[in-house]
Amino acid sequence: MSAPKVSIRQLGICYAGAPAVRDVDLDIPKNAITAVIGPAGSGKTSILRTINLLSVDVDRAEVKGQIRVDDRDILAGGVDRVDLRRRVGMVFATPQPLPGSVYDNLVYGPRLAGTRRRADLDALVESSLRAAELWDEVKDRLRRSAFLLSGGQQQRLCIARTLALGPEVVLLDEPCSGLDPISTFKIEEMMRSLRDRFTWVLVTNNTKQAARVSQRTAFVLLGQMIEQGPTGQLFTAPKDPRTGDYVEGRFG
Amino acid sequence: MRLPDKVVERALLLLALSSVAVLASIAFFIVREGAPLIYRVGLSNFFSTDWHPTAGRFGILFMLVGSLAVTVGALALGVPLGISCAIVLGEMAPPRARRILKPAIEILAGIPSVVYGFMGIVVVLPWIREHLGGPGASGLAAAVILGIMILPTIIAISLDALEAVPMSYRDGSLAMGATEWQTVRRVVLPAARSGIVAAVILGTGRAVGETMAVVMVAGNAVQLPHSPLDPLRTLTANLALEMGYATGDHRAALFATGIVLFLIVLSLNGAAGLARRRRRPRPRPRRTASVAGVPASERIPPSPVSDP
Amino acid sequence: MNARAQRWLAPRRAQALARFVLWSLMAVAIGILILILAFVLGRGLRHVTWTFLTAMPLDSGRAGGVLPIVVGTLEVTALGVAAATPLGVGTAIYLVEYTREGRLTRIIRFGAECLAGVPSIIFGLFGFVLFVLTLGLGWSILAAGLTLAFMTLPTLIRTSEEALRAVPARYLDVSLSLGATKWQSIRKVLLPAAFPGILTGLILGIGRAIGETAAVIFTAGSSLPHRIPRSLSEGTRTLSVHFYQLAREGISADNAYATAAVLVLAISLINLGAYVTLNRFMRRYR
Repeated sequence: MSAPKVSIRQLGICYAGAPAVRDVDLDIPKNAITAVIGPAGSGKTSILRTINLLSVDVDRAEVKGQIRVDDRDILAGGVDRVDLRRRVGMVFATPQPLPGSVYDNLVYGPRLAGTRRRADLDALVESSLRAAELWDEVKDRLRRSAFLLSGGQQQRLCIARTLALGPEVVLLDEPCSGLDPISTFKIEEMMRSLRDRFTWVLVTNNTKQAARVSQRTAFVLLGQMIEQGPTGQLFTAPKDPRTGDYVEGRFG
Repeated sequence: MRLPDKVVERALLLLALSSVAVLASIAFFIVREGAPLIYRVGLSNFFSTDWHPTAGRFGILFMLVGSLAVTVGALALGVPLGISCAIVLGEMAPPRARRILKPAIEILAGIPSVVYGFMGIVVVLPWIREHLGGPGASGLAAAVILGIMILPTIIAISLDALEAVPMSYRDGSLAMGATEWQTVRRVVLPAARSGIVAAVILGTGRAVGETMAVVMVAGNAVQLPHSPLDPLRTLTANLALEMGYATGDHRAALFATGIVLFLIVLSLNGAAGLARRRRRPRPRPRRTASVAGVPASERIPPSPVSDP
Repeated sequence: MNARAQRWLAPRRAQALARFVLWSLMAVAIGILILILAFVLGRGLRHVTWTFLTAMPLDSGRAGGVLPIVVGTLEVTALGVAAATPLGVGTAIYLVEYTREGRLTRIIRFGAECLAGVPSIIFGLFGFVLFVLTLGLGWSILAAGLTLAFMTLPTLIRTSEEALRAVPARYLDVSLSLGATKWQSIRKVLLPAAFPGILTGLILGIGRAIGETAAVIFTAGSSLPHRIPRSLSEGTRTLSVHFYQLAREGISADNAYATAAVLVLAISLINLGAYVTLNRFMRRYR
């Protein structure tokens, strides 16, 4: 494996003094899909939300350890949050369109980043919608409210909205929870086709989904990293018995 | 272009302190204007019965008694009516009636006090004159008008308190065979007690502080009322009536009256705050989640497609 | 337990009795409140004519209309709400988005609650000393407007705070994750989403300001204006003060009823508007 895009060392996360994640190490390779699995409450989302520092700014988490993105430690302080979040985009568990039209949602980030010209914005809207395989479905209703789309479409809109930032890393927090199997399938297809263009981190409750789309999988339990490795190996020959129990559905 | 968040936070903190600052400057100004006079004439003279401002005698006791009397009268009328309203609206009325009556009460809460006073003049005063005797303008008239005026406050806050009682309490009580009234009296009211106490205290504050309506109906004679039908003057009415022309020590005495009023109302508010201490504002889900150590998103129930 | 008491106050009987008493008391209370509204509107509306609204007052208000008074009232109210809005909304933003519950928020909330309980006559005294005398504004629309700003501040803080709390917390997550700063997120996403709720607070504040008498009489004065106010440093008489003078001095019953009707109608419509706005807003995020 070449140098990882994101490398996490000794990460600890506390909320109001209560530890949620302890001593987690995790390497996230460039231009691949890394899945993080584990039962509910194991700290997966906390880890994910710390990679773009949302946990620190919004949840008031106290963090320690290192998270290197391209060899720059983002926990060391002095990091421009805005710049970081443009490079490390995030998609949330339930579709979260902002109030406004489909178009408004897509240009929200680029406008803040300083893209003002109409033609540039239009081009960006089309390319990111195409990347999220949503263009054909919504091209005639860009001006309609984003809330009028179906749940699956809303989630792909949220992915397109993140892609419109031109990120290097895309964090997905259980992106398919609450979606029907067909929508889930479409999102997985999209991730596969865009795999080489971004570094993906997929947090999921669904071990089968991790097995289907990811190249690398990490298993977290009770705030600790139990095991990580190539997805095939982790699912077929886990080193830790708890990993085997979990992926085969014996608990969790 | 991008305002640094620290700057924004500081600026907002300044704005957020504005209400505290206003409260402090109200205290500062009325104390500055009124306290020297109290100091000069002495507390015992200030709380005497001798109010002759032109002769330099500033005793506010009759006004204090007047305020106390109309407030007690107003509570005697407003509290039973108000709490009954809240119980019926919160526990007994069908949802349809509640949907109409609740906003109606909120709208009525906005009727200006001068209108209540006017109603006193054209309805209550003649009625008292004809049926009970006396001049009409009296402590009783003021108490009746104030009792009505504090209704919306008492109803709204008590209703909030009743609505904050978890549904499961009622279900539990009813399931054990209690009647609706037994449930209300033995379960719901005790659970909502602190909120209802706060409602009564805040209603008291409103009655003590009300001015214009009282001026219009109380008769405003500076005397010790011997019966509810005697005219009397409250602290607030005294301010409203004499502020227009008072100068020098007289005006200082009125500000000193303001200090007394301010202290009364502030302690009532403090008491209401204590009574409601247990009722914290609802925290945002995100923050409760952080306290529990697990972000909200991890609590989402397993997805329906977890094993397709 | 005493057997007789048990017989007389058997649960079923107590239930029926309680229901009867409580419902009657409520009927009395609501009946009184509605009667007041009906009485004022019934006697007053027929005297509210176009001329009444658009004419100058004559003969101390015995004749003529209320035009300068309406204009003065609107100016005082608008100024009050305009000055209170940044303070109230800013406080709410700080409480909801920038701080954790703690000693500081308790102090701020306690300050706002106490301010809400301060009688209007005290605000009148305060405004008189601070604005009219100390700052030398004289009896003026400006002095009255600023005093009313402080009076409406608590309402505005409370409603804005509730409105901001009703906005889904995830909007902030989303906006931040798309490269916005916190302040940009508040300005572009959270405030617009909370706007209807904040508007409710503004409307309620307007209603309270229009109906206020005691605080205005000491800050705007009470002399009857004979022309439409030309600047904010002129004194004015607001509708409530005008009504108070008409009613108390027994100047003109007809015009008093008419003024009361204008006042009550305006405030009821304003409060109804606030209620409808709030209901729509709350339903959207339920």
